[in-house]
Parts: sequence; C-alpha cells; structure tokens
Amino acid sequence: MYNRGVLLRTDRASRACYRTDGGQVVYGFPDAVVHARSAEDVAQVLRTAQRDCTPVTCRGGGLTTEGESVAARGILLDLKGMHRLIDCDGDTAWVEAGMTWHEVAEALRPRGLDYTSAPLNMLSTVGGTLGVGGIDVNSPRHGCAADQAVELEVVTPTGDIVSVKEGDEYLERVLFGYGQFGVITKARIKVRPYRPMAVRHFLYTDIGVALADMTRIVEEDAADACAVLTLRDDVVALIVGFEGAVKALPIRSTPEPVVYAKMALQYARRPWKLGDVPFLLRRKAGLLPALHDPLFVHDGAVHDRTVVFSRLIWRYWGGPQVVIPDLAITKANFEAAARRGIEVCKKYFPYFTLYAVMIRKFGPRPRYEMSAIPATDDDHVCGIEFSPLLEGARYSRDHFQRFKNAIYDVGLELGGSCYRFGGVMKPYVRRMFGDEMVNRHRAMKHQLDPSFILNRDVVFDPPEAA
Amino acid sequence: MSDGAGGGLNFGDCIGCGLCILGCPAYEETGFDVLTARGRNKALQSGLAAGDMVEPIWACTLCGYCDAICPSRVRNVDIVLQLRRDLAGQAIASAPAARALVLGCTIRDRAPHLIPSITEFLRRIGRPADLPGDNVDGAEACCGSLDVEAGLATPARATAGVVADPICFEQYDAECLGVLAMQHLDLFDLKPPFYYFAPHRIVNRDHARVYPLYDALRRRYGCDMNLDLNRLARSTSAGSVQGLSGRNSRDISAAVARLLEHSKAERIITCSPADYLAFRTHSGRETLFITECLR
Repeated sequence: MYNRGVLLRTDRASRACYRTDGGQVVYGFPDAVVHARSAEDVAQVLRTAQRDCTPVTCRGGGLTTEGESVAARGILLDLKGMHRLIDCDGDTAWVEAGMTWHEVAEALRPRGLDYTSAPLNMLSTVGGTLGVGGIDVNSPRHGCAADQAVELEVVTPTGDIVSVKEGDEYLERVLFGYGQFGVITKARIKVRPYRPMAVRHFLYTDIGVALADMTRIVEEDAADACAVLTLRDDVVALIVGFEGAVKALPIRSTPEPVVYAKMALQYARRPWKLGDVPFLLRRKAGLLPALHDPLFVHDGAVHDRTVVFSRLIWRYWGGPQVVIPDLAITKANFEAAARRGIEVCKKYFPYFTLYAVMIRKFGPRPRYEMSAIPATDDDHVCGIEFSPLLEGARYSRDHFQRFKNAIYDVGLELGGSCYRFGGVMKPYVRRMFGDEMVNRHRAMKHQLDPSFILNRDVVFDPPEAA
Repeated sequence: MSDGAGGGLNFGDCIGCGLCILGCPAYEETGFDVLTARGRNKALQSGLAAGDMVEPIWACTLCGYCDAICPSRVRNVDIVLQLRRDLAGQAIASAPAARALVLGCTIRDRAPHLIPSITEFLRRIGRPADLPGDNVDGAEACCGSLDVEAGLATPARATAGVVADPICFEQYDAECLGVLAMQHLDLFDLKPPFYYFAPHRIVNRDHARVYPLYDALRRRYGCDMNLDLNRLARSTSAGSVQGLSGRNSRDISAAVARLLEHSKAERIITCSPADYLAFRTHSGRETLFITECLR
C-alpha cells in the first residue's frame, strides 16, 4: 500500500491537502504533487518543468502566510520527504532541506546539541527558512537562521545540482532568495551545545520603554535571548532568556502590582472597557502556564524551549485566519514604527498583539540586498509583528488586506522593509526595493530560470504579466 | 460527516499548523501529508468524502499523537473512526463483557506465557485478576476493539478492572496494566541500560495523568524511551488494526529501527503486548514484558 516509490500523485485527496498555507488567505489546487526524496528527484522535476513551461511551487512546512507555497496550477513540489540528518561534526550539521526544525532538534538532541537559530515555529523546514530568513528569540546574538548556513546543495531552476559555500555568489543569491534562484536540497548549518533556558518576563505600561530596554540588553549583550510581547498596548512584557546563570538587567520595568493598579484606575475611568478583562485573563492564562509547565520546566529552566515556544505560538496566534504583517525597521525608528503600528491595529481590530525582536546583521552581505533586512549600516535590524487576535470574530479578506497595507505603509514611510513581501504582498516589492534593484534581481532570475517556472508568481511578475 | 462545533466532527477547526505530523507513524513511514491528520482535515475542508480518501483513512493507526498535540483540539481519532464507519456502510453495536481483567487477544493468542506474571503482579498489588465467572486462562472473548477500529462496530464503554492491552481501551473504561506497573516500580527488577517502550495510546490519550509516571521511570533509570521532545509517545503501529490484522500492513520493522536508532540499550522492556512481540521479532535485542521483570 504505502509505496514510497510513488513520488507523483494526482488523486484529489493528495492535491486537496495542499489547498492553502498557514495564512489561509490564498487557496489553490495543484495539478500534481511530487514528493521529492533526493536532489535528483528535484532536478528531474525542474528539468521537465523547464522544458514544458510547467509552474513548480516548492513547499516545506507550508507555513507561509501570503500564499507563497500554494499552487494554483502546475506541480506542487513537497520537499519534506528529504528529512535526514546526514552528518554532524559537533560544530555544523549537514541536513536535508526538508527537515523541519523540530526534526533537526530531535536528531541533534541525542548528541547533546541544538541548532543555533531557527524560527519559533518548528514546523518550518530548513530549506524554506533559509530562503526567507527565520527569526528566533536569540537572533539578537546569532542573527537569522539563514545566517547559520555555511554550505548548500542547490538544484538550479534548470535542474543542475550544485554545491556552494560561504563566499560563493550563488549562495548569496539563494539565501534570503525567496525560492527564486534555486531549490535548496541540503544545508550545512551551525550547531551548538544544547542548553536549557531560564525565562523571565518583566512588565511595562509603555511600549517605548520596553523597546528601549530590549535595545539596551541587546547592545550590552546582557542576555541570551529577548523579545517584547504585548497583551495590550499598555500591558507589555519583555521576555528575557538566560542559558546560564540569571543576571541582573539594566531595565526600567514596572512592578506587576503597579501595572494592575494602573489598569484598575483606567477601568474605573472607562468602565465600558471592562469587557477587555476576560480577554486579558484568557490571554494571560494561555501564555504564562506554558512557561511554568512541569513537563518542560525543571530547576527553573525551560527544557526544549523550542517545543514550548512553537506550541505556544499556535495556541496564542493560531486560528482559521492568520494575519501577521511585520516590519523590519531601523533602531532609530523602532519605537515610532511600534507606536504607529499600534494605531493602525486599533483602527482595524479590538484586540491585537505585537511581537518585537532584534536581529543581528553580519555586515553588508549581498544576501541582504533584496530581503527583509533593511540596507542600513546598523549592526541590528528591529522586527515587529502586528497580529490581530481575532477571538473568534471573522473578517473579510479585504479587511485583512487593508490592515496589512496600512502596516506596510508605515514601514516604508519610516525607511524600513517588510518580512513577508511575497505572494499577495508582492505589489510592495518595487516600493520596498526600487525598480533598479528589482529589475536587476529579476534579470538574474530570468538568466537562471529561462521559462520562469520556479515559484513563479511569488516575488517577480512573470514574463507575460510584465 | 458534519463540520463544526458541538457534537459534530470538528475537522473544520484544523488550522493547518502541522504539529500533528511530527509524530504521525503514517507520515514517518511515507512522508505523505495526505495520510496525516492535517492532510485528512484539509481534504475534508475541501469537500471530499470518505470515498475519496480511502488510503488516508486507512493509514491512521489511532495512536492519538495528533489529538494530544493539536492546538485547536481537533478530535482526529473520532474523525477517522467515523470515516471508517462511513466507508463500511453499517456498523454493528458491540457489547464486551465486564471483567476484572481483560488480557486481550494478543496476549491470549500470541503470548500466553505472559499470563502467569501478569496475574502475579496483580496479586501483589491487591488487584483481583478474576471475578466470579471469569477465567483468566481462556474464557475471555474478543472485546471487538479491532472491529471498532475498522469501522465495523461502534465503540462500547464496558467496565473492567484492569486492561492489559492498550488496544482494548477502545472498548473499556479501566486502568491500564502498564500504568499500574509504573505506580509500583519497586516491584520490578529494572537494570539499566534498557529501552522502555511506553504504550502510545495510553500516554497520548491520557497524557496529563499518565505521562508523569513514564517520565518518572525515565528519570529514575535514565532509560531511552519512545517519548519525543513534545513529551508524547511514538508508536510502532504494531498495536493497531493494521498491525494486528495484516490489513493495510505497515512496515513495523522500519518503525522499530527508527525508534531504536539512537539507543544502544541491549534490552527492551514494554507494557504493550503487540509492541512486545514487534520488538522481539524485529529489534534483534532482548525484549521483556514489564511483568516478566517482577522481582
């Protein structure tokens, strides 16, 4: 029955299960699904597709939010079948690109190792992540997941299998390349010793103070991980992680009783807002117990924090509609972007949350050119996700789109860029990067992918549209 | 099939996160999304019916991993059982007898040598192995759990004192023999290093109560186990309608190899009868049922 040799499937069920992605905004049915088990499988598909001008849409975890991994026609190339850890020398691991980060963690743990930096969502695959960036709570120190890759095996859009290392031009195009210039089939990623993480949170009533404190922690390298998460615009948590001893921090947080007293005062003045209280209690109950779950917390530290965070984000953010516009902004405009984004959120949704992190940059690498990393001289990029918390309410696609546009407009006005600029957000590509940059990258795409088959409508306009 | 809240099947609540695929035995074996809970739910959301999804419906071994990890609380096991009943057309009502001890067909038919140690363990902890009229050596009839799994019968909730085979929990409300063993570890002579295979159906379906017991075993002996980073139990598929009936057979040998990949333990211990036989057959290592380790 379950014949692993059958790699191409066209039955309705096999196609239907790829009908949408994590965002659940874009829907489509591919004509066929191919389950790749090797780089040779990928090469064969791409060679055939190039010859027949058949669109090929790559898919790993399927957790894009703007339809980037949804195929409306052509071939859906599922890479999750390539999920082996091939070798590990203690400093790096050579892994197949279809491995989810969860699988990477499972494979490294018996060796006492962990990956360096990966998305909080462990269902993302290595290949998909390296194509867009991948941000962790330890990204202030380690940078994006894509910056952990030191060597790649890539199948070009014309079906050649090539190996590239740090310093090679093609590697710089494929990393952060949104899947436009080739299919990553293997990656050598940096690994490090596994260490549990003691997690602390501090409350604030002002987002600006919280962001300033996080910036200070990052600049002084005072913690191993940190992020800012809001429950409400005036109830803000700074989350800090320590992989060793917990240290005193240079912060100006508000004592918890003072936060509650301020909230009580606000409700006394505006009793019609009391309806928020059940929401706040529900969100707090959904968030904090996970950081104290005895299954994962021993001796004051969270073990397998990647699992804890990954499951938490689905519980906290997950839903039938996932909308997460996020900005990549300079340090100088971090607070302004947060405040203006909050005003946008308030206009569109009664409840929302912000998640802010900082991401280390490693100089002016070509890979950052047309990516979520703004082209500035800063040593860190500041990222802010704005997520409506829908609480069971349903909104139209247009409503979400207007919200996303308004957030992205804030980012562009403040000289930043956006993390998710593909798929339905593609119209922002030229506004973000300018015609010269886009045309140059599009020309590279055309040279590598003459029939424009690979993830064809995700970032660039296909030839017929152009 | 109905979609939505209340008593209906809630495949519509699946948000497509894919957490369920992490420990799905069908996915581990094949790498096909369509055979996972997410794949089935997305296909159902697309309007497909049971007849369009025969292979995905039969791929599930009801291990319960997906139900335990789902952030949207989709009841995937219920969905599969209903889809199988839809395929079968008509399911009969089964009525297993109440008993003090339910051994299950696997032990009675394929591993009867375990019965003396099981009854001895129950005697030592003060749980009677039989009621008046029971006969632990032969009078127990098949409880019909495989028919339930195959969609040929509707589940019954009969009462029993102790059930030795996790697969019989489709039919009984009872205490699991393996869980009782975890509560009386001092009765056993467990010499590390060993690999302990925890019964996935029990661990995953009654996670809050049962997982800490198996975790305590792991901490006490430092043994390798079939528990993953999510603190959920992975399966071999041996203790399922596929593994036991031979229908839609699974590659149990490969599943055993995957589970033991990182373990150097020479001895395997379990409290799941079908998995006991699977490890004995496929692992090439000494395999013991937990009650065989009684002091």
